[in-house]
Amino acid sequence: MERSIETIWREGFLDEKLLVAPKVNDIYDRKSKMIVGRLKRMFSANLIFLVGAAIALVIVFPLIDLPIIGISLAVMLIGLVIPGRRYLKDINALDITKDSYHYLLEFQKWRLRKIAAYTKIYKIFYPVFFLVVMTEVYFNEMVQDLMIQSKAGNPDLMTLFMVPYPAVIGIAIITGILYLAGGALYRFDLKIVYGREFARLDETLEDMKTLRD
Amino acid sequence: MGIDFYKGYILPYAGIIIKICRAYTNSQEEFEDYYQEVCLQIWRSKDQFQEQSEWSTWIYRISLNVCLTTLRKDKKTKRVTVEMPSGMPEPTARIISSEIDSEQLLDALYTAIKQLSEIDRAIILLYLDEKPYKEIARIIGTSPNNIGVRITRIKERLTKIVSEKE
Repeated sequence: MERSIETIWREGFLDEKLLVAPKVNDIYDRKSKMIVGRLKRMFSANLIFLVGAAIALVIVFPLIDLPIIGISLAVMLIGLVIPGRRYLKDINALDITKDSYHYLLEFQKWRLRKIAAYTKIYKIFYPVFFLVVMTEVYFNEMVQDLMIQSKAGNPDLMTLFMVPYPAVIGIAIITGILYLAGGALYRFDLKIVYGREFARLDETLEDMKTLRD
Repeated sequence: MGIDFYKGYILPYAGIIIKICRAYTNSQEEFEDYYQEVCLQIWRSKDQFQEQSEWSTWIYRISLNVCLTTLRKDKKTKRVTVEMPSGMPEPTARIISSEIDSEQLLDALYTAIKQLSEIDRAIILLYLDEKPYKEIARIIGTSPNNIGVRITRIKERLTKIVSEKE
């Protein structure tokens, strides 16, 4: 005999065991591990990407006559990977047997340490990258010709290694700005890539802190 | 989330959360994740509750919102399917049998409900829990007339899914 969906629903839930709520004790436990796990996977993927990019730079840039940029940038990227690997190892060393709150707090401290270290690295990374590009420009034949012509046309022009002073000053200013803004640029980049996960981590920690209070 | 809050404000209404989460999940683990996420969200948004509606309506609303949001997020990483492995009897086929116990019939009904769109699932869950059209409309954010029309259509569809298995 066919029963209506209303009857099936009503009779189905007469059995009270179907309405027993699952335990919520480990609610934050699972959530904490999930967030840390996801961030760990993202960090690893980022490091793999950097290594891949370094290899690609070494291969591709010499082919388009930009060997200095290619090789220098590859070396710089590997320079980012080395501390990254060490930091990744540190996550694995975090004591997972601690309660979720302290586990996340430790992770949070680790995250802040990493950001502080990379902020310093990027303060150097961006200006050096800019100088590498300028070096490649400097050795460019057309630019060399231009510098010679400009010196010949204006013998009083003050130069440093044939580079006119105004250009030297311009390069110095941009390098200085990149040094000062390097940390902010890194944090902006971080926000784009990890922003959502970091917000979730902060939110969870805040919830846990409220509960403890 | 404090245990007092859970015991006082969530546990008495756990049935609502369970019924809704079950309609949007396909495994016990997934069900527990959704359930916990709903509880967390109820706790987080408790201060936003204005006593213009009943607390149970608030729970319905949050449960549905969390399930729909989580389902959409999950869908980005995996496809949620309700198809049964070949060779296994499909539960909806059992819906017509009076010899099957009510728990199995309920399973079958849930399987049929999972074939509906996300919003239709929400509407039929509220309808089956005997919420008036006006309240369903308020929770879903549409007019009571529209809800009436949709419920008729959803019931026809559920009946069709069931009768196809006859």
